[in-house]
Amino acid sequence: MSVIDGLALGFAEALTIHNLLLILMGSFLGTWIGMLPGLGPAAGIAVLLPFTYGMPPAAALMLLSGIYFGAQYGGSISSILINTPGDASAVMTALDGYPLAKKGRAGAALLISALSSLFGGTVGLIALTFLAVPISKLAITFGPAEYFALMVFALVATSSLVSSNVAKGMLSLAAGLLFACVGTDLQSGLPRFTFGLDDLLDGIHLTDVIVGLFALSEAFFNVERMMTGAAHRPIKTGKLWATRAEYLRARWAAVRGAIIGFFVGVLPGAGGSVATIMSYTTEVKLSKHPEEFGKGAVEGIAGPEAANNACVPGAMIPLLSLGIPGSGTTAILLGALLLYGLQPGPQLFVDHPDVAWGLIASLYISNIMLVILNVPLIGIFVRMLDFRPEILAAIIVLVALTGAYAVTNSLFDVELAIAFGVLGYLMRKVGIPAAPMIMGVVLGGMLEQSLRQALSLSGGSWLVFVNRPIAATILLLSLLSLMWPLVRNLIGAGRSKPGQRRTDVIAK
Amino acid sequence: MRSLTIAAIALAAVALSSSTFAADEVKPDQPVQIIAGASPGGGYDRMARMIAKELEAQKLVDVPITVVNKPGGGGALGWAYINRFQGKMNYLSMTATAFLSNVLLGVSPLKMEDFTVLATLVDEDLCVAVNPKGKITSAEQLFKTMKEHPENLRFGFSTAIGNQNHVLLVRLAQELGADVSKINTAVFGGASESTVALLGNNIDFSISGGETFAGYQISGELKCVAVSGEGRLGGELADVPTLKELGVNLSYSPTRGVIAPGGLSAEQIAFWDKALKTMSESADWKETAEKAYWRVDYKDSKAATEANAKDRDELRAVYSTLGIIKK
Repeated sequence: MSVIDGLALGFAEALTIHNLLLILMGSFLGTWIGMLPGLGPAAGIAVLLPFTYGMPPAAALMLLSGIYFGAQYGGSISSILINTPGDASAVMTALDGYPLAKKGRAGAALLISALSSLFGGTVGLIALTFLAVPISKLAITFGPAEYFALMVFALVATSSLVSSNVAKGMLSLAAGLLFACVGTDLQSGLPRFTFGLDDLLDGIHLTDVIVGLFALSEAFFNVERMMTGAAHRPIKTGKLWATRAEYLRARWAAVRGAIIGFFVGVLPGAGGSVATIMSYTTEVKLSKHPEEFGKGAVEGIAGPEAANNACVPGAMIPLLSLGIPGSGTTAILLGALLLYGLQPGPQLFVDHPDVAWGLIASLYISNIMLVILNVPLIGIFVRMLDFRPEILAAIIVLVALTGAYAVTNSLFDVELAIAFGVLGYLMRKVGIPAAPMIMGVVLGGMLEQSLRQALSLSGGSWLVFVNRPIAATILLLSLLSLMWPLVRNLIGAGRSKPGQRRTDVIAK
Repeated sequence: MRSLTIAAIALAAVALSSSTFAADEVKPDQPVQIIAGASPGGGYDRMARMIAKELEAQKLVDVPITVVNKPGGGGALGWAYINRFQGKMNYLSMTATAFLSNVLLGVSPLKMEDFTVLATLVDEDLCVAVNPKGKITSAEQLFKTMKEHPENLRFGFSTAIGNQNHVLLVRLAQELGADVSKINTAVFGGASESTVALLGNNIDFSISGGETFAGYQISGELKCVAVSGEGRLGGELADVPTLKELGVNLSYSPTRGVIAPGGLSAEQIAFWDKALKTMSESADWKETAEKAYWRVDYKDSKAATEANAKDRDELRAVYSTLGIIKK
């Protein structure tokens, strides 16, 4: 079946009243699920899964993937308005989205976010439609050595975000990497830093860290403001458009973000969190005004937002063509497919083309629906800025802790989230940035396991990183990236002040 | 006097009929919770939902059934959870090899005797798979390389050291007289990751349940060269020979089963024996299990406990060979 035939079949399947309503419902639910801190698309889909049992599989999948897409849009809304990212892939958006909102331009931030999301999603979908097969062939050549190289690249890029306070940023990153080590080590089967607690056997869940460091610490800060009697200055939404200059700057960031997000999504095991980190750090590196990041640079919104939306169709590629999930959420979709009695993988397009193409078509529709839903709804969403800080804090705490509980249905995660909340509050007081810690937690696990898998398989030979072309190239780029500021300073000494390329992302 | 006698008899009758332990059948009077020790989509979750569906469809219990996910520790968190409800028959949990191995490997202090083993339901035969475009392309070649040059082999599997996939490798190596410690081994976090590694030729062979590889067998991207059971699997893997057919005197079929908290009475166990046996014998159950490449092999509480004890002894031996045994 050719691509065009497939799409035609898919749209025929999706454009029924019943299915359109399901897609709409999924997108809408997804936006809310994405907005609520702690509750990400994976948890949302897992909770709604039992309700889909009676439905025909194609319809159920349209609903569930609507949720997935919607969550990428929704997560950025709470990131921008109240500095509490809805889930891991929304964290980067908060770094520049919230400062921009504080400047009274929340409307511009939300608009740029929505448009970048639309763009990223569309690019990803087109790539999915026409390039699924060759791309999946490329993706599977990525072995442990390549994943390690990618993680090194991301970490090196992260270090460029550290501001004049190098020590504090590095401290945060190192602590994040250390937290990533907690749990059962895959290669040896031994528990590390679990202190005998069963609940730590699977490590520290990312949700707890994000909920604690962002949502809860923000809530604590709100309470502190209330207690010290600081005047409540409500954030003004401002006009719902951005300046022409900002559009132009954001445009290229969105393009780069979409490409990065799509490819990272295709790689099994790396999802929205890694994609947005790589997009953000790329924007910082390429910018002519890196000092603006952390203060409301639109590239810092456009890039990650395009990335996390392009990630969704990217993650669908290995799922639909190989039966292998490209991200945590697609892993649950895989389970859903199995529960419906469908065998994902190369046979899905042959045995059930209506399901596979219907899913792809529904994503196109969902993408458009989400923009139509989100833009007018911005007016409603920003109402939450009018809440008094203490009420907002209470709501945030309630929702965040529910999200933490939803991970494992265990109170332990709630306790852990609170602990990170206190830590986040203290870190803010002392000026230690939270973003590098999140990056450390996200990247650390895969960094270590990939390294050891690669070395185990090569019989202990470090040459594996040199002999494999893709891994070697990425590592070389990382090295160059690391050396670049040094080289630039040496060349430019006398012509420009050293340190001009440093950024102030994390001064808050 | 007469009225007093009648009253006494009436009172006795009322007392007897409302007595809680004069019920003719003990069954769950509170909603049943089936705890799956992993996130939705995995083996525990799938089986839990299958059981919930069948028990309801066949009306084997009168109360509502819910599946609750308590992921962590390869199932350890789920079992630790039901361990709190001693004597209650409305909590069930799914088990696999990890249930027996956790205590041996020091993952968790909970052992089989802390619980009531209700049944083993299915056997999950394992498949040895290779990449037809890779270094190793047949069972004969694999076995030969294992014996002569194990250091040239790259093995990848999921999800944890000492699990059923790992055990099959060790026992296979033992049977062949190969040195398992020389094989370059990497552990991956999930079946998808190890499958991708095999597809990309980053490992030479992998072992997992039949379902992991079935789709790729059809498309030809991967090739299953052996299955571990007494007899062949069906479906798309019907052409794959067993280890015994290939001349290796080894048959290994890890089981998946159901447990309840410890301290259940004989009547409570009898109820579940009856319900799970009826469910197991239904055509619907057989069909669902076959789709997952699981072989229906029901053992009731007593037989399952004995079989588990035997399996645990075999695991002990394997872990001693690997040098990873803690208890």
